[in-house]
Amino acid sequence: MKKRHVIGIGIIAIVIIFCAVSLKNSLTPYVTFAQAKTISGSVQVRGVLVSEQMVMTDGGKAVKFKLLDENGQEAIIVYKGTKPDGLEQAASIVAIGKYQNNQFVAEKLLVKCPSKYQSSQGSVNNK
Amino acid sequence: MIGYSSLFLSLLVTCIAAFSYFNLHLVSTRRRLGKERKSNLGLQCYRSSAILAGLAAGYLLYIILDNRFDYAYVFSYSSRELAWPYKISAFWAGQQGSFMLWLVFHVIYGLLLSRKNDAPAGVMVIYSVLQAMLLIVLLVKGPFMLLDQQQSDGVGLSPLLQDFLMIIHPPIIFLGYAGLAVVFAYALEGLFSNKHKTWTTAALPWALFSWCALGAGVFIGGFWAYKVLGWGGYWSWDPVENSSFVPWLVAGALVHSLFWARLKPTALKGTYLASIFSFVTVLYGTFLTRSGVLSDFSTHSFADEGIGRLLAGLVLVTLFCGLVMLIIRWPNLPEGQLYSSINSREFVLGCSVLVLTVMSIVVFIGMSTPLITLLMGNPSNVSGSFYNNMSLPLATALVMLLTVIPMFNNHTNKAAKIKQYWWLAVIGLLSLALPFKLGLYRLMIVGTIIFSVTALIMNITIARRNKSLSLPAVIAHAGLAILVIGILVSSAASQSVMLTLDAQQSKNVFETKFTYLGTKQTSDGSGFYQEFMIEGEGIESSVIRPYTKYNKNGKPSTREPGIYRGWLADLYVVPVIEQDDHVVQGIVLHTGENILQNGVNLKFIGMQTLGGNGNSEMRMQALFEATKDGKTENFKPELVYKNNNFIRIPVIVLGQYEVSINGVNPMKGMINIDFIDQAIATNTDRVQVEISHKPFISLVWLGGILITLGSGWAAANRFILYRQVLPSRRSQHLTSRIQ
Repeated sequence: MKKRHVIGIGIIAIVIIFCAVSLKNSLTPYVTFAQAKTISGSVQVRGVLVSEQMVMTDGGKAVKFKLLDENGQEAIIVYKGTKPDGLEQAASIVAIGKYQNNQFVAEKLLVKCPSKYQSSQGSVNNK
Repeated sequence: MIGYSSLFLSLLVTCIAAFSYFNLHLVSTRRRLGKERKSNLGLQCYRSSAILAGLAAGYLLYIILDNRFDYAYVFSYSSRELAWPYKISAFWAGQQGSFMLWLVFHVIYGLLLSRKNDAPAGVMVIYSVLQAMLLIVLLVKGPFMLLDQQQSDGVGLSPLLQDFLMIIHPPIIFLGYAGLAVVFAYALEGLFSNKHKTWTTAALPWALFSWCALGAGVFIGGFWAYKVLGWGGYWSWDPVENSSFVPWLVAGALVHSLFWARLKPTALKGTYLASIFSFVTVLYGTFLTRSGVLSDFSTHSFADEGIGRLLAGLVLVTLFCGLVMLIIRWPNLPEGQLYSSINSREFVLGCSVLVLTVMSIVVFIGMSTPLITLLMGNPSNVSGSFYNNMSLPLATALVMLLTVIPMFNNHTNKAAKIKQYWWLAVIGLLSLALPFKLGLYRLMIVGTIIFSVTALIMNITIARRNKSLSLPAVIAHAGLAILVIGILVSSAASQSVMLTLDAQQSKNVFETKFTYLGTKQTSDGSGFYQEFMIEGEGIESSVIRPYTKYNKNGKPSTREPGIYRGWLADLYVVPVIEQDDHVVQGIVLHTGENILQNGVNLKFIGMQTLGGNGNSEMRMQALFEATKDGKTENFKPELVYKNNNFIRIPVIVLGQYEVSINGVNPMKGMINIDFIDQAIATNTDRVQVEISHKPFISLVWLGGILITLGSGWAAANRFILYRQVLPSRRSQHLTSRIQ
């Protein structure tokens, strides 16, 4: 009986440790651009579009735009993937990714629709 | 006022019902059966509250169908041109309406429970209290708020939601939500009355049914995301998805623990926990997605409408009441073994409960991370990799259990000698071919696929022969094995490429020839199709047509991917929306002002009103002058106001430019126009398109269908069985009281 308990507790401990480690690795804190520069891991920054003029690069494979964060700081966001619907009209945009080479490389964009009633916009993932 | 007052009255009557049921409950537990004065007050009050709630719901439906845009809810989710099925779905498109739908299902279930006093009075007490909670939420934030000014038309339903699947998805989810309230009520009644065995038979069909409905809702939601959203997947671990996925997992644990408790009553402790948590997680998910706490973390979540605190309070109250009752009764709960030996059905059953519980805890932690970290002062979110990394080993454990369970013989409750299943190893080795053919070499994935295949074979061949599982259970288990194979293969072996194609040009990818045929506007002008011909070996030559829908302003807004559905793989085609600088909207001009647009000079000369007095129709006519390359042309677009509707009459000038009026302000002499350069608009002979090859994705849907079918069938069986034993049970109940 005791041996069995030890095995059970061992399995539970492994699950908890595994859970904690992968949770820690996949946490993306909510920061400003100034903080994002100092963090090497994945973060998310919320802001508004500086101008509606979008710059498409790489022949439509990536979207590039300037985002103004809550501290009034600007940064260039590069998102590899197709442009999310309603990006220009967004009330605010959350970019999730990393700061690299003076630009913010987004893995995922959350586009907040200006109307609170447009509840479902669907997030856009980069596969 | 009809809406609010019936909700308010319903709340009052529900409270009375709860009190009189409580009275009845006290009478029956004190065994003062000498005076069998059966009070019907509770039943009558409950029925009246149901009628009143139905009245409120009926009124909501009426104001939607009657285009009463003076109601904020109708204005926000419906519009005149919306087709009637979508108008009905506007009922539950928004937060307030979806609570109303939840209430409707809750009341229907309540009527079923109260019929012939099927459920004990104690159940009805708790069930009425839960109903009162829903009514309070609806009274605080109901769909009957009036707007300050009259509106001629509504905002309309988001085009993404205008899909058949989105009509049926929310009702199915709420069927499950409401059903878990029944289980919760039964469990609490069991604790109250200290009768820990009788309630499980009554609660089992409800648990199975809710589990089935939640699963169906989750699968439909995933299928809709795949079919409509066009990002290529069906699941993104979004809080809204998780908020029904977690209750589904807990309900799965609940169902299995109910079966476990039949074999070993000690497991009842777990059953109680699962019953409490399945309903609390429903409320918690509602709180997370409706309170606005996640508004920074998801595009999906509803904005805060001021009921966050109320919902949080309800979550805490239900959790507190449930757990306190459980703690009080803990010493009275059956004691004993959880399983007789490792080689027993209940051990495997217990393991499955454990795995499902751990899985729900993992997803729960993930979806709560924004809230927890927010409270700790450093708001963070988790990425999808957390969920994926965590669920893979848990899925492996689940399919291993699925392989083992059919080995148990129903009579001996023992698995036969493992040597008898030597051929399983052969199947396992043979199934290695699948991952290697697809180029999957990650040990965990390969292992999980092997176990899924063996689990599938075991369920098909042995499970019925050993009578270890009922047929519905076999179907659901086989469905899970298929689902796991589908998820792993389709996500791990999916590939995609980006192509640029001119009209009639062909390119070969994924051993398939893609030809771009061109763009076609839909007949009603609501959007356009981009047609691709696909030909290849093993593929039926066909045309797939990704569809892009225009928004209200005539700009491409949402797009649906084109999907070729094959048995072995899907081809998923998503065109990239081009920058549409040929359409310029909302140009505002004052009288006499010029604007240079796409090489043409537009001058707004003036406007006049035609008709009006006495007529229901009023026409605003504007006078413009267009000049290009020395050519000048005058044109007169019109805006007609008729039957409370604005109708645009666009004009095409210089054979190329379409101008229509958005709105006018005659007092200030201002006009707002839209401009379309048709020469560019029609020049769509080149397209950029992302093509993905998704092997075995059809197995995801097949697995989902089988799980739903299995759990639904099991629910139906248990309802019938319960109905059959009910009369004898009731008399038994009575005799036990008299004794």
